[in-house]
Parts: sequence; structure tokens; C-alpha cells
Amino acid sequence: MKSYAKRVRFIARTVHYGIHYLLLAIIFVFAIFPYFWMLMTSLKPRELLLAIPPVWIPKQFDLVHYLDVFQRMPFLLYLKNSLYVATVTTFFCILIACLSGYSLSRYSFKGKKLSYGLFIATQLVPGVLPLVPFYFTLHALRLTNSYTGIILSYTTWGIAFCTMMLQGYFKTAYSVEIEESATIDGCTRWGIFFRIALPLARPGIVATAIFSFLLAWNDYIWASIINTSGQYRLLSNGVQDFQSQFGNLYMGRTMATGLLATIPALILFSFAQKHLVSGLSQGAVKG
Amino acid sequence: MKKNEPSLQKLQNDSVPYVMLVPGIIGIFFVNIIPSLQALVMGFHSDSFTARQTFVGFQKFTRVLALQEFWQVLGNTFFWSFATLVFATVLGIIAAILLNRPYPLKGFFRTVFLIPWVTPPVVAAMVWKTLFNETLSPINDVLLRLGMIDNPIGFLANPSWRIGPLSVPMLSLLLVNIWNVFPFMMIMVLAAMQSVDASYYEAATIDGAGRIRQFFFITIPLIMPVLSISLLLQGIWQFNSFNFNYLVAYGGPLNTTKTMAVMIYQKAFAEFDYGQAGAISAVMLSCVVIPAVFYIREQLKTIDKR
Repeated sequence: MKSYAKRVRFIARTVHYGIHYLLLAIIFVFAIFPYFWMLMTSLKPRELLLAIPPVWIPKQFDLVHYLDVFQRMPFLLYLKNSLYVATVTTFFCILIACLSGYSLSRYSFKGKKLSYGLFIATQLVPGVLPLVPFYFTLHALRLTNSYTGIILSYTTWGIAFCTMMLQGYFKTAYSVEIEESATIDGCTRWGIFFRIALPLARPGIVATAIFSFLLAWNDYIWASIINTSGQYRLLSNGVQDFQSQFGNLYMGRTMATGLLATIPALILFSFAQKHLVSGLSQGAVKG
Repeated sequence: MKKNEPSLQKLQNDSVPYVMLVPGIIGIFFVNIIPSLQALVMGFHSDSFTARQTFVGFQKFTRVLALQEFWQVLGNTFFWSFATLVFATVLGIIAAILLNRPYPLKGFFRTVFLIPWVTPPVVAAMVWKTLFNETLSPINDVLLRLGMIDNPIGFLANPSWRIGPLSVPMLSLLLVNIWNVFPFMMIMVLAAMQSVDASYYEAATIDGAGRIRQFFFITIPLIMPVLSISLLLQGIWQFNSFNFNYLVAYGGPLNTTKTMAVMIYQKAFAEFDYGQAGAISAVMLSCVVIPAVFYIREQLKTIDKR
């Protein structure tokens, strides 16, 4: 009798586990399949690329497309451009957003709600809306097709979101009492900002920095308008160029480029995953 | 002199919040607020942006509103954001439930599920374009082998049947978008679920409520604030959607996948009709203004909360 009940419980638990992992597996395949296909295509020998029906896993892996990426395409130039632009963007974006985020999180002053409202509003405006006039402004300043122009665009573009995230971090990173006691000890407001707030909110700042890096790294639309010449072209546009330029016949090459362009984003994201998520749920969508 | 010092110091102290805020405010005015207003003004003018402009009133608006394409695109955009929200949220909630229990490999699955969200849109578009290629598609391959279809589906090429905004290319693109958006919903729901006090569930278990009832009567009500604000934000973002519609299908075929953002982009940078682009922008903005105001008000409530 007892063993019967035990067995029923065992079966029930196995079924439960089974369904659980089956559902997880389905979502897993959905999430990762494009990567599987990208990897397999990038490793296919050229003659298998256009095979019908498609070859899922080639019997022999061929690294020729990866060699092509480096030898026949300006991949390294674009990579360098993207790395440079995203890094400098991150630096300035964080510098500015730390100030405004801190100001909004710690002080109460006249016009605070209006300013914060403006920051939020910019997140809701369609991205293409300011793009046209902004392009003309940059054009008039002779900043199209340069590092300065695109860095300026990404920095100013990222400020709002980074401010919102950092505002949340500063609020929750440490208790106000620390600042109050520092004030009593004679620390000025700037002193508190530099010596207490910044060091204590460091994990949040790092996460936000990664976010702004990804913002610049993943962007397509701004760079497609602002940096059209080869020398300053960014990687995301390069991937798009390669695809339309070479077509399906050179799909392996394009897929290899895409995969290589994604790896930096994925590595950075894996570092910041936890903080990014908590920052997002605190800064952007806290109900 | 000595007497003045405290008040000078006070002035310096009082100005600190403003001084800190100035660079950020300049930034958003420079890149966003001023250009956005310029774009709206653009809708009331003829000629190119740099040339001498003449005020033409609502002429550009009437031209845009007379386009059949415009109404199709408007319908597409509403359908696109609504359908994305529904499916991405359902999938996101299912994923969050699965990840909320202490099963082995939880962290691994969570990381993998987030990958679609951080994939550069250009790269995602590139792969999905291949996955949807009529002859090379592995999806068609599977469906053909299983005997579910007789001829390969032209995922992005075939607009032959259409019911309102519904068409094969639109549904294909929705799949891409759900793939991209569901991790965001998942992570928001998961964060909300994890902040629910475990004692609610303990009490409910003692009272004899099963898992499913617990979900609908405890979890859902308690995650509702976060869920609704995420839906609002994501709804606005999806209404503004550009990337996949443009990068995968360029809004085609026959405008079946075109959203308003794509139309603005094409009007401005392919047809160089900045007036029409501005007019569409104005319409688009007026569609999101009500949810946007609501979202901003909700967010402003939280700013003084700790």
C-alpha cells in the first residue's frame, strides 16, 4: 500500500519534471535557433550554402568564411570604429547621466518633476521623429561622417535612459543616513557625490555603462543616416551592407560577420545581466 | 565679508542640483526635444528642410491622409503593437513561471532566454531573413518533411491573402518581434514574482489552494502593477517599432509589414519629402500621447518614493 502511494508520487513528480523541462526546451529552441542556424551556415562549405533542401549540419566544417571576413571585407575597420564609438559614448553618457541621475534621486528642488518628466518623455518619442532634423543639424555642423557626430548622437541619445536607470540605483544603493552623517561632518554636496554616492553606486553604474555601450553597439538607424561613408562606417551597418552586397551566395561570410559582431554584446551582457535586470525593473518600470 | 559667507555657501549648495542636471537637460534638448519639435513644424512646410521653407498649413497632412498606404500602415502599426504585446506577454509569463521555481539549470535557461533581447537587430534581421527564405528556410524544410504543407511558404514574399493588417509576411515578422520582445516581459514578470512574499503562498497552501489557483489569485494581482506599466511602456515602444519591419522586409511586400516609423524613414530618406514625413510624425505622436502622459504620471509618482 505504502509503496504504491510512493510509486504514484514518483510518477507524478516525473511527469511534472517532464512537462517543466519540455516547456523549457521548446522556449530554448525558439530562443537559440537563429544562433544555431547562423553558426551552421557560417561553417558550411560554399557548395552547400544554396542546397535544397537546406543542409542542417554539414558533415565537414569549413572555416573559409571566417578567413574571408578578415581578408576580403573591411571587418576589422568597422569593428574598430564600433568599439571606439561605443566606448567613448559610454564614457560621456555615464559622466553626464551620473550627475543628472544623482540630482534627481537625492535632491528635492523646484522643477524636479518637470525635468524628470522630460527625461521620461524622450523615451516614448518614436526614434525616427527627431532623426530628420537632427541629421540636418549635424550636417550644418559638418559632423556627419565623423566619429564626433555619431558619438555626440549616441551620447545625447543614451542620456535619458541612463539617467532613469541611475536615478533608481542611487535611490536604493545605500541609505540616506550615510549622506546625512557626512553632511554633519562637514562634507559638501559635491564631496558627498564624489566620495560617497559614486563609489557606493558602482555596481549600478557599471551596469548602466554596459547598457549604454550596447545601445551604441546595437544601433542601426542613426548610423545608417549619419555615417554613410566607408571610413567611419559602423559594424551594424557593415553587416547590413555585406548582406545586400553579397547576397545568398556569400551567406556564409555574412553569417560569420553577424556572429562575430554579436559576441562582444553577449559577453558584456553576461557580465551585467543581474544588475541590468534589477536596474531596468527599478528605473524604467517600477509601478 | 565674513557675514556673507554662509549665504554664499547656501547659494552654492542650492544650485548644486541644477548644475548637476544641466548637461543632461542640454543633451536631451539637443538630440530629442528640439529636433522632435522641428519635425512637427516640418509637417507644415513645403520644400526641403535646408532650402527656404514656405508655410503650407495642413496641405501635407491632407496629402498624407489621402494616401491609401497611410491607412494601411496605421492599421498595421496598431495591429503590430497589440499582437506583439499579447503574444510576447503570454510567452514571457510562461517563461517566468518556469524560471521562478528552484529547478536545476535555472540560471542557464534564464541567460539563454535573454539572448534574443540583446542580439543586435541587424544580426537578428539577417538570420531571420534567411530562416524565412522560401527555398533555403529550415522551417519550410521541417514542415515539408512532416507533410504539413505541400509547397514551401513564401514567408516574406507572399502577400496573396490579406485580412486587414493580417498577412503571411506580417505574421512572420511578428514571430521575429515576439522572439525579440518576450525576454523583456519575462524578466519584468520574473522580477515582480520574486518580490512577492512567500508567506502568501504558504498561507494559500495551508488553505488548500492549488498551484493554478495560487497563480491567478495571488501572483497575478500582486504582479499587476509591474505588469501593467511594462505593457504600457512596451506598447508605446512597439508602436514606434522600426528595426525589424525595415531590416527584414523594408516594409514590404505591398506594404504589408510597414509601420509608421518605417514610412516616416522612407518618406524622409528615400523620397526626401520631409513635409510628409513631418505630417506622419505628428499623427504618430498624437496616437501615443495619451498612453505616454499616463506612463509619465505613473513614473513621476515614484520619484519621491524610496
